Amino acid sequence: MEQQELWKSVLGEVELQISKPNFLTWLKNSQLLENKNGVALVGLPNNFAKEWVKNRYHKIILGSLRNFDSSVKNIDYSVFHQNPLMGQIGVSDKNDEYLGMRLPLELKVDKRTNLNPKYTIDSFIVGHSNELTFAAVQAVIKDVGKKYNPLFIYGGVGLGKTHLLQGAGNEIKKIYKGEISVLYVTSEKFLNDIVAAIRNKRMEDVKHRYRNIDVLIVDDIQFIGGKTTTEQEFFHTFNALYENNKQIIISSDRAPSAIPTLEERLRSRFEGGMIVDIGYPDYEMRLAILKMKIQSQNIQIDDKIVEQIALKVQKNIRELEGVLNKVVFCMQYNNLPMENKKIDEIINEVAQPAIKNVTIQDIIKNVADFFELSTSDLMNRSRKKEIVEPRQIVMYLLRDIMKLSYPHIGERVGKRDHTTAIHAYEKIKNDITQNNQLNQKIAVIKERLFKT
Amino acid sequence: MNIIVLRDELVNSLYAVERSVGFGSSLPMLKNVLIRADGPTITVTATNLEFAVIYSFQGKVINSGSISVPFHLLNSVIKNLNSEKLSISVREGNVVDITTDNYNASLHGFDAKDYPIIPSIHKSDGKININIESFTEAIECVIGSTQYSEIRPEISGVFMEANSDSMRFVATDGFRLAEKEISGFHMDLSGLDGIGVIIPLRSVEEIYRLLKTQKEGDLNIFVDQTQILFKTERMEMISRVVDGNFPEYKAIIPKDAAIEAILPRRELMSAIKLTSSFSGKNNDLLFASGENGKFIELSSSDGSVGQNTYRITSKIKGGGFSLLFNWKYLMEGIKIFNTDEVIIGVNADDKPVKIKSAGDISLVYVVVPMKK
Repeated sequence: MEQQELWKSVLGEVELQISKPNFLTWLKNSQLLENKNGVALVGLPNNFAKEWVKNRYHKIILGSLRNFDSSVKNIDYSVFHQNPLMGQIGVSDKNDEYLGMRLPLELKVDKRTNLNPKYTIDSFIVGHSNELTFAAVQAVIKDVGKKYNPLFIYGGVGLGKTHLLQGAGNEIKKIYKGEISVLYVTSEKFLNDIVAAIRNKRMEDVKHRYRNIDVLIVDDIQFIGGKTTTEQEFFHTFNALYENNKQIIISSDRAPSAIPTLEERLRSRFEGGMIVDIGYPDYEMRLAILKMKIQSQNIQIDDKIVEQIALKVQKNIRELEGVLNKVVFCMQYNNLPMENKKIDEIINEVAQPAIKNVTIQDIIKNVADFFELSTSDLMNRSRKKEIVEPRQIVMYLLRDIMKLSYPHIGERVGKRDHTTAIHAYEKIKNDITQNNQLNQKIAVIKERLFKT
Repeated sequence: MNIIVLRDELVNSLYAVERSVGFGSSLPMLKNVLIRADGPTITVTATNLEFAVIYSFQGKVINSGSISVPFHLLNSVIKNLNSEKLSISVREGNVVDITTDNYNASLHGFDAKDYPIIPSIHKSDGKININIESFTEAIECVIGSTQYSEIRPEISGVFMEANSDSMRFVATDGFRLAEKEISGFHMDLSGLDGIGVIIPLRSVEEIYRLLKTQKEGDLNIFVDQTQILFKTERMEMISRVVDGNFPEYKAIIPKDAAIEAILPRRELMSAIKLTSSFSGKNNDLLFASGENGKFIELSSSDGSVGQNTYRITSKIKGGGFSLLFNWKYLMEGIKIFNTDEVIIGVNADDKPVKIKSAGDISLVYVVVPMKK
């Protein structure tokens, strides 16, 4: 029987055996903290209660516990603070400004929720590329479990998904002061928990851990695709939470429809909720992000340099940060003002590692894999829609990344005319700005290309 | 139980425990005090489950034992008795007889085993031995700088920090902060580098109340993870500590000041009281340097009511300034010093101001100016 349930039942029995004032005074805020290896650990709110309960109610409680769980042989008592008003990490999130100055926050990850306090909603920069998603998250925070459920956020690497997810979790924790329980996991952790549970025959524990919460946040869900048992368990967990109007927030590197190995039932459930994406930041947003990092770390750096970094580093936010760090480091180390050339060098080093290594074959193969086609499908004369688009993408990438000439492109992709290549390039280039899905797909493909 | 005690001792003990009686609580037993007689020592105990006070004294114990009785009733009887000695005995059915040579009373007592068990510290993280007067002086300096707060319990109290070199008491409410450092104490640490606990405000007030009349004697302080125990020769008080972390206040205290103003303390206090008469709802008081750096002007105004200005001579080094304060916070910062002069250190118009004195570096007060 689950711990909280068990304790509730025990208290119910004990209540009948002692006077009401005594029950209210000593046991009302008690908790069953642990119950393993035959020893139960009972938490009391203060030392007085601990002494009293330990000395006067031990036998009654032990008796009652054993009625429900005969494996319990003994009870330990400790003082445990519930602290609904105070999170483990300085409640004081507003106390960043303490006596008018910034204070270092206690940056420990909260063990109960897995949330890292460094990710806050306040520090999340909003721009065109993510304002819709941000609005959806705000709506969820305001109306937990009722507004958009599940909330599915997808986007490329280093664009702030984890920041937003954890920020949402921290915000919910802060606003609802412990009345709403939050749990954040990566799908990898979920998977590991399931595997460990199966091995140790503790499935019940895992089930309860993931279903006895008000908000479940799962990061990088795409990894459970193809792992049947995990998908199954997630499916059941999802249902259990959803039926009870518990909030589910999910992130992924692509839309549900683009996770090929995902079980159909799960896909349809995700698609039944609100799907929003985070795109790549534009120049203004990149500048804003850099400025915020500079401010929060009290760095002195020339505006022109910041602008240059924002201009040149166009990919993801993590890269932006990396370049900034390297530039600042060089500045401090060399103690010299930075020249544009040097900065360009750094940017190239950090931000664009291996474009040179991409070959035509790589591009064709990656696109084919992404769309679950074969390379010959892409080359042949088929005009089927499902094949034409990937083919056009190949042509676009060949131009965009490798800067091949149109005739060359046409030649390599099934001996086509150069005008076909031109048309494909222009079409995809245009569609990218209109169609976010397409943009995301291409971003993912590009990432995979450069990863190897 | 059957004892004979001096009325005065009993009065003292009831005075000591009266604030610990748990009025208005769900457990009626908390409205009682526990009287226990063991050997020649008699103790009177009360608790409100936040803290407990145990007061001991000597008396004649004919039979050991214990009983709990309603505080109010006992207090009322004892205070109004005019005899020097009285006897307290318990008979069948928990009936408590109080007898003097011309008075007798029987009241309904309660079994001692129904009275809460007072926790103790079995294994302390550290033990501090300090002169009572030093302790109360330190508390006096900082206690005015904090307030009750349910939402920020970690600053709703006094932070006591000690290692083998020094001991500090710090209190703040987010707008101002006071830190007092003391020496002249002994410390025994069980393997730790130091201890730091946040003593809840009510507990601080209580231990201060209990100790402030004593000039002599030593106080022993024991600390563990969840509790703090104050022990003197006659009395023990055990209290919970606040669960949480006190903010990293050291970073807040300005290290240097661009501008420093030295002012006569007593005159400044009168000046603040005087000019605050015209302060508006915000308790605002303007504190600005005059020309030539030779004086300071305190002024306040309240729309239609009027305005006033006071000029006070001062030695100013480093430039001019104009700051808006909550006069109560400023006053507290001046009041806690006991030297003739105070030094006010200013940086920018919106940065925290540090108040200290030349003769005494153990006390520091920091206050944030109001936004103009």
